[in-house]
Amino acid sequence: MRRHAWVVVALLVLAVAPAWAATEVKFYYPVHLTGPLVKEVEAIVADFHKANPNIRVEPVWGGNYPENMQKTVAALQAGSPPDLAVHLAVDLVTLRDMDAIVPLDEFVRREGGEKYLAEFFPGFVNDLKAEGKIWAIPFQRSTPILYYNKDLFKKAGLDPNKPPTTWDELLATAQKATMRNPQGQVTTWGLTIPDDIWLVMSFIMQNGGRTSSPDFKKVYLGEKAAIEAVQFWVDMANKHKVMPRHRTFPISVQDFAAGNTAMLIHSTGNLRFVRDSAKFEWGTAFLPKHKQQSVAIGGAGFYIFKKAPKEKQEAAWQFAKFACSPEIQARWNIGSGYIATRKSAFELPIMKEYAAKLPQVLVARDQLPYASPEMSTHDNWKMRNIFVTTFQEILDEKYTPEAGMKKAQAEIEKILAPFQK
Amino acid sequence: MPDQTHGSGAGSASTWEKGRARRRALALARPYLYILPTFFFLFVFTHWPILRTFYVSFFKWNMASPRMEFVGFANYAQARSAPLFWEVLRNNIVFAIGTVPLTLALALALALLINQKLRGLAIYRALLFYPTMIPMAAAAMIWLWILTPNYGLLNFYGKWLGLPDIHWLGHSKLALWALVLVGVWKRVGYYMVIYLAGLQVIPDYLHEAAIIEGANPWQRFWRVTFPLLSPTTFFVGLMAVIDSFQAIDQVYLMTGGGPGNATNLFIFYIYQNAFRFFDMGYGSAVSAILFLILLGLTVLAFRTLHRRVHYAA
Amino acid sequence: MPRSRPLWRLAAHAILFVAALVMVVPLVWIVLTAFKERNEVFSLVPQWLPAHPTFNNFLGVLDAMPFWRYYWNTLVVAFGILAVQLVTITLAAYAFARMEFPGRDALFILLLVQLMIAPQSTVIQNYLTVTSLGLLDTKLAIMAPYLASAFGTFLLRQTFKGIPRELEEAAALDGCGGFRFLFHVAIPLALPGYLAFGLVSLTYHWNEFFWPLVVTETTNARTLTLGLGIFAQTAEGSADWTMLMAMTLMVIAVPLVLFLVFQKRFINSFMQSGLGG
Repeated sequence: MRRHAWVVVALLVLAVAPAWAATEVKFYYPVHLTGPLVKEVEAIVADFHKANPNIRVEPVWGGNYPENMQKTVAALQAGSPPDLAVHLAVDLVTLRDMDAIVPLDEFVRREGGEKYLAEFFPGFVNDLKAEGKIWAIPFQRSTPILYYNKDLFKKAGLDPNKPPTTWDELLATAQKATMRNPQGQVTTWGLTIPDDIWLVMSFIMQNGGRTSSPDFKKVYLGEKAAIEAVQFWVDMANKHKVMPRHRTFPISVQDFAAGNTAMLIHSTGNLRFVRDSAKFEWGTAFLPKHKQQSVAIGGAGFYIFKKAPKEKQEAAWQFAKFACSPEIQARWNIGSGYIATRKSAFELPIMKEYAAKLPQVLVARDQLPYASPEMSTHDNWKMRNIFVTTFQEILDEKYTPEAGMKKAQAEIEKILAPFQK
Repeated sequence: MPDQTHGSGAGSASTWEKGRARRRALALARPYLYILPTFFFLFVFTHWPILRTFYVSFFKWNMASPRMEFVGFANYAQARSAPLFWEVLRNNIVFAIGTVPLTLALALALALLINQKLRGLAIYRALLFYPTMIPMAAAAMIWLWILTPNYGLLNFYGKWLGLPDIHWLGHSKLALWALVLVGVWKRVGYYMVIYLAGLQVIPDYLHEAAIIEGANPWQRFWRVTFPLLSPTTFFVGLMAVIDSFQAIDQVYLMTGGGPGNATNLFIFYIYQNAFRFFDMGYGSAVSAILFLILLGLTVLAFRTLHRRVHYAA
Repeated sequence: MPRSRPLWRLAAHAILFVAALVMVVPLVWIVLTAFKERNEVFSLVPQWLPAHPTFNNFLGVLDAMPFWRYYWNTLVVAFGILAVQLVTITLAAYAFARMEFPGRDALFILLLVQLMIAPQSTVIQNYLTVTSLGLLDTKLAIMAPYLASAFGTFLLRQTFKGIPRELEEAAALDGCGGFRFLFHVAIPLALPGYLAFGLVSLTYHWNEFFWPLVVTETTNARTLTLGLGIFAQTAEGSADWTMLMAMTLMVIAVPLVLFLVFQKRFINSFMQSGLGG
């Protein structure tokens, strides 16, 4: 009889359990298992759980941006997509083409509609809008900035408080800062820029050029401004030899932090790594301009997926809203280097304190008025691959900048042809 | 295949006949039942995918949306007009030409040497063979470290010899050859062992007869050894060529197809298009083209070279 | 075998020595690197021996990835595949070797297709199949394409063919025909063939990278070799050479040690894999 009683109790508990069960949100975040940001994101999730005991966010570490995108698409294909994911702003087109995401207008309206959106930096929100709707909330946004090693500047006889502000100054500074040994081999590079398309885009924009059309259907890589920008980069590497070729995104930061290069053009998102690893005095500055001051905004936001049931979408929104609150964004900025997407975050005491100690962190935000959306088209990853591999071939002098960029333009036009309707 | 008949004569004649019919049916079905498990898995994971790949190659499909749009030969046309496809094909051909003859020649030379009565044979054999036991991924890590500019082992000694500090894997002309090097290093021990097996079946009296006829070692090799090794050479060569068109681990881990697309090989190209650009239709078309290439190579090998293979009497 | 004169012998030794050196020096180099401190390797002058040998890198590996879970996954996958293969290849090889049936030759050629088209080439469709079965990110997904083995069937068929007809007929007269013959006589006689196949199969699946990469999404089903490759692609992995080399060592330790102990067995196994005439 006792055993039966236990069974009845167990069944009763199971019957009411669903009411106690928390809503689970599967959340794909683009970082590797051992990435430096894992702890930061885990902290945000932990704090969210404290404030929202009836929601459980389960982060899945998806690797880098392309890998995380691959995971999401794989999950979509398998019929079990995440409820929430952080993807690049430029992934908006791809996710829309797959009809995978829901517009966030309803959620945003509840928070105050346009007034709510106005609390974010406009540049961070504008590239997440399409067809009159808002599709993501900006979480980790960045711009490229110039990092420079003040100690190496001093060694080279340069003023450590006057980083270059124009292309001509950049070249001259790099030439002075490049150190060679008696055999002519470089011991310190003047400048390092990784082979990253986002940075090439910014150079094109600094030269007054444009990259892609707002309707995601055209690119402008064959234009004179684009070719000139690439020519400048290539000359710095091959003609003036102040820059190494083919440094990857992560390696170039390591090089800077190890003191092997006097200047680095890279994402502000790596600021914390530089802060923690550099054993020398360093500074940050705007990207040196040419015909105009203009950089590409990078980074990612929260997307909510269509297949998720309404309660999960709701729960996902709660988490996204929390992670984009001023307090969390301020902490996130300090812990990563990404620019806090909420304007008011910069007024908070912890942010002001931090900025007083480390003024370098404000440069990216100050550069925002000059920032525009990143290049983005349909079939975005294929387009980027064509662009970056052609760029690498130009660097290797397989093509001249003009021939290479025109070739890339032609190939990209071919893949965009089906989307021209 | 005679099946067992039970000696008991119990039961009426018709039951016995029904039993016999059933046993005969079982005997006929038996071989097929035996091969069923194997062919079930083969069908699902080898034959069906090949067929389905051809099917999907006629559609445009971005992997996540349920919509598949029929586009006829458009994906194949895209391959034909994409410079990158031809570059991948060229890369893979160069890779095969670079890897296979070199690996086989070295493997044969080493096998001939190991086949002598030398001291320390077992040690040499073990040291030459061990790379077969480790993953290609591990070989990729090892060689990534050795080929690193500045601190890599190869460049240390290269600088001694006066060579500049070459960024092997970042050099558009050398990167593919670096991958060839890794491939040869990894596989030469395995082919050596296969040649050893082939050498050991060559009867001694053939060598002795050649010696009596006054043939020198060089002639002995070309007139006796090599022809008798031709079955081995044929099959190992064919396998090696087929393998080199399906190389992936070292491409993925050492160069990512770069710099530019200098080391982009077929499987990597297919992987990129299907899983990074989400273009399943195009990825399938390239896969289909690869199947046809592999099939063509096999048929060609059997039609032409197989005639020249000597089997020992 | 040609008579070896001293000069030949010296030349042979020299060549073999150089070749063996080329094979083993990379291994020695990474063993030494694994015991160095992280920044010691960034010297422009070659340092062979570690200045301050340390185990930190190996400990770091245990932190950087769920090593034991990957280990377990690999064991389950490799032995699981082999277990099923032993069944499928035995039945199929026996049928092809000793039974006559219509379509046998055509079916055999169909079998050989698997030797020509490696799983890498059918990766897109196999991935989709696995997904539609709900097996994405499971060990079963990693195992699935290999449960039938054309190679194993081929190898075992050779072995089974070698069993004399007379033996089979005699056994049949004694009441041990058909399946009983297979089970009680043929299989035991073919043990060397099974061993050879087993070692080749285990090695292959322990070392596999690409297919597990495609069908796993998280650390759930990930195998050791795949974990190594993925770590190498991270920012940390591509900069921390000493930890990467330590991780490489930990991944290849088991196959290498087993090889050192059972050299002859392994080499003989792989030797047999080429005797496909």
